[in-house]
Amino acid sequence: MTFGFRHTLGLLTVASVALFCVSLLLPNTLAAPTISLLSELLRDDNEIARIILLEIRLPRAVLAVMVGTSLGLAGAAMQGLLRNPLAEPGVVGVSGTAALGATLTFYSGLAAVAPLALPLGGIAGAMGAVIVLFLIAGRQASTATLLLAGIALNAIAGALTALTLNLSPNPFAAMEIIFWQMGSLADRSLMHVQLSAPLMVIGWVLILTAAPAARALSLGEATASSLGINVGATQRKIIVGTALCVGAGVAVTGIIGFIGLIVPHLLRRSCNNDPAQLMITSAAGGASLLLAADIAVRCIPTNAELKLGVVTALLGAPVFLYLIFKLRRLESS
Amino acid sequence: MMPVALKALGIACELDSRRVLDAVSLTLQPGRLTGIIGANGAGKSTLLSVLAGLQRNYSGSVMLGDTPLPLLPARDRSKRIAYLPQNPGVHWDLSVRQVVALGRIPHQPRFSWLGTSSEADQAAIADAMTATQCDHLRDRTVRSLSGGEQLRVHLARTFAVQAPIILVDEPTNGLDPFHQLRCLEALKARAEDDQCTVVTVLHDLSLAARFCDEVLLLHHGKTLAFGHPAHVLVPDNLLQAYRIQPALNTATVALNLALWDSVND
Repeated sequence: MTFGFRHTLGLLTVASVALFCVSLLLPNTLAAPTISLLSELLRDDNEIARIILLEIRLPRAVLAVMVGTSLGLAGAAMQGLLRNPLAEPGVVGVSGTAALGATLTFYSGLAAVAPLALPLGGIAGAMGAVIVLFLIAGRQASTATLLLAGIALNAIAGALTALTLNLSPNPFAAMEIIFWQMGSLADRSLMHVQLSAPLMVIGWVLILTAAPAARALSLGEATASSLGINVGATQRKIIVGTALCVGAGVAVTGIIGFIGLIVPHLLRRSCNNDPAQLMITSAAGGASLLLAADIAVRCIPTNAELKLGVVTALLGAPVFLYLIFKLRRLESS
Repeated sequence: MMPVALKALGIACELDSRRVLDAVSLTLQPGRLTGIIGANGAGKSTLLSVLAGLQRNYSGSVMLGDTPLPLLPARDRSKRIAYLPQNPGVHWDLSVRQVVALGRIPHQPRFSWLGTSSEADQAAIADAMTATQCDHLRDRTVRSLSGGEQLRVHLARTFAVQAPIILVDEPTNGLDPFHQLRCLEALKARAEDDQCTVVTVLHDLSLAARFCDEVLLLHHGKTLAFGHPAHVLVPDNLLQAYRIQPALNTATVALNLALWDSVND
């Protein structure tokens, strides 16, 4: 008897809630006292403790949940749509364009003037990708065409981002761009949550309504159509939903890689390979993993702030390599 | 499951500016197994996908009972027409039972995230697995099965829809004689016992002659002959459609599958 879908989902939900609480209680570095803050908070006349909790740690923890959920859900959805365990949310190109949008606000100096310019620029970049993808998908494009479009978008965005770095007015602007791209949840406010939440929720809803159809796609597109599934609509919902929730995430946190790739892989067996169940558990799994990674970032003592995206890539890339080896073994056997 | 006829009238279809089907008309009656035969590229699979409602780029009309097929919502269509494409595959390591259960999608709520099934679903799945002798495979992953076993699973998935019309594209591809016979026997049983309208694309003329109540012989997208196999599978037609002629060698006739039966395990 394997550890079933319900148990896994339950466990991951409990883990997310627990990690969320830990994230709220944990200071940004281990040096600061933790327990005293909690006890001080309980005395409701302590204004500083309240500000720290509600305006610094709460946005950080909430964003970890939202971004983790988006990455896990979108990763499982892309793998289900493309029927390929190596797919990840970034393949639709939206991470690249969101990063480009944000980078341009640094370059133009807008980010320094208005703090909201940065996430808004990222969201504008993500929307650009969504529009391009939607225009292509609207013309009855095959999934391969959409993927190629995603690769092209990533390449264009990457080139333009490199150009802005190249032409950046001073080394500090370039440094800022580079650090921002590494991906982090530090110093985000409730404003970031409010900006990204609506887009993410729309993205989640689009993906979740397509989830049952992804199950039928396990048998290929012709069979899925014969079972009454609108393959085109499923494809559009998953790609646009992914672009919305992942793009909004990149816009506020920078690029956090590999979560969308490894979470579905780790959970696939406990969902009996069912693509629809995998999307739901991956959402909870992504939230848990990103909360845990963010807690780890805060617990590892380093001189400079350790960036979350760096840690997830460090953990994720070896898993990716292992996946490739395993797939090769399966193919050769 | 009400028996229902499928009628095609003057079907013409152009794909990549090549005329694949031209003025094909046929009526498919409940309780009959119809074979679609013809050389490679004659338009067999295209005709099947037109009949399945999947290929919409055609002129002419397809009627399901009294309803034009294109007017039928996809969900209603999927309950009435079960379709098994050529060389079906399974993309994840799904178990046999999971794959057969996918045949119940048309009957499940649209947003069934867990994929849980009702008692009617369970019964349909069990029936389909028994009819195709898949019971003992239920917990195996489909990708670990032999070609013949996989085909049985896909047939079970198709039967689990419990549709009055069953369309199957070249099911006997790559199967040994035993599984070829089993496959056609299972399709025949669906037609005769359950009064389904069953259509299958076939390459093996001996199987077509043996099992089909009627066959449609396509040649360059046109109907060359339609009717009882004995009237369709005559030397003149075969020469024109396939560029083959009988060698009249009795030894080869003895190896003709039309004269053989599968034996129970």
